[in-house]
Amino acid sequence: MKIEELVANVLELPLSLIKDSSGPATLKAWSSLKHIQLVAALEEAYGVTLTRHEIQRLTSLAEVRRILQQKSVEVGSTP
Amino acid sequence: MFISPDGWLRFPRPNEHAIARLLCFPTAGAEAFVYDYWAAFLPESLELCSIELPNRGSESETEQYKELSTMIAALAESILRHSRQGQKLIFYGFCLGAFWAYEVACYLRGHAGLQPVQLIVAGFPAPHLRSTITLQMRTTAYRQLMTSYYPPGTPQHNYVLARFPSMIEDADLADQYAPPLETPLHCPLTVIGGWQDQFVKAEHFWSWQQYTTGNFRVQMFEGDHFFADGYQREFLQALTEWL
Repeated sequence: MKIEELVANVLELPLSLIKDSSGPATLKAWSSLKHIQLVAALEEAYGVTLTRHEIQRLTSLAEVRRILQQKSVEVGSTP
Repeated sequence: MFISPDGWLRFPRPNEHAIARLLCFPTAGAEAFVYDYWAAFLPESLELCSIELPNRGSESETEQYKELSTMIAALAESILRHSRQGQKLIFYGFCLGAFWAYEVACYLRGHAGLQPVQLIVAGFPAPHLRSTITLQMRTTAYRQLMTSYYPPGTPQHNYVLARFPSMIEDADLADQYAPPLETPLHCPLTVIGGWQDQFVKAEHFWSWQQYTTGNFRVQMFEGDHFFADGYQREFLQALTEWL
């Protein structure tokens, strides 16, 4: 599952709506509760632990990808 | 997204052309990101800015505060530093956030001669009655209720559990002395409450009336303390209409 697919699954949105710029400020479905769910899903899928600082900066798909890459996660690959 | 260098202010969608800035003060233990998604619902004319309070664990980017007065001063000064010329300020505070919003409004009036154009508070009694809530926050019943909204083991349940230490630290701050009401604010004050609020007596929502000489109204909704969670879209639409 690619990262955008994971985000789409958590948000229960069609994959076509998930862009790099997508985030809580652009997608109404990206609520605070979904944000918490997304954090858990990312941690489980990629075997990482996100710090509070990182959780606060998951502000778009591009940022999610960047933060995971910083943790040496190969995004885009199957977790 | 812009986060102020001092860590206090979070702007999910910065907009220098917005005519007003909606400053959202989070409830006890909550983090600023909980308001991010509001930006997707609000009109372009409003710039959302949520407040990140200190005392949020070892990773906190804001300084740790043990005194209410110094925390309020530091927060208010950050709001002033990052304000845009000509942009109006609207304060919204939910639960304990209502108290923070009021205290910051008082500080800004006293130190900078400005007030928000509107103060909106939800799910909280007037400041002089705040101990009716902070006392409850230390009870087992409160913990049980707060965790009852989500099934055990879910991310949301675990998140609420992880926030309890910060909730208590916020309650400790709120319990400290704050000057009693002497001169009411002049801005319109709107109070929002749920008829079935487990923590706030319905009559206590009207206790805010003495805190302003401006227009005052209480808007009650069906639902409990977290009534807005049940119909966020409608709540934000109503909020936008009031503004």
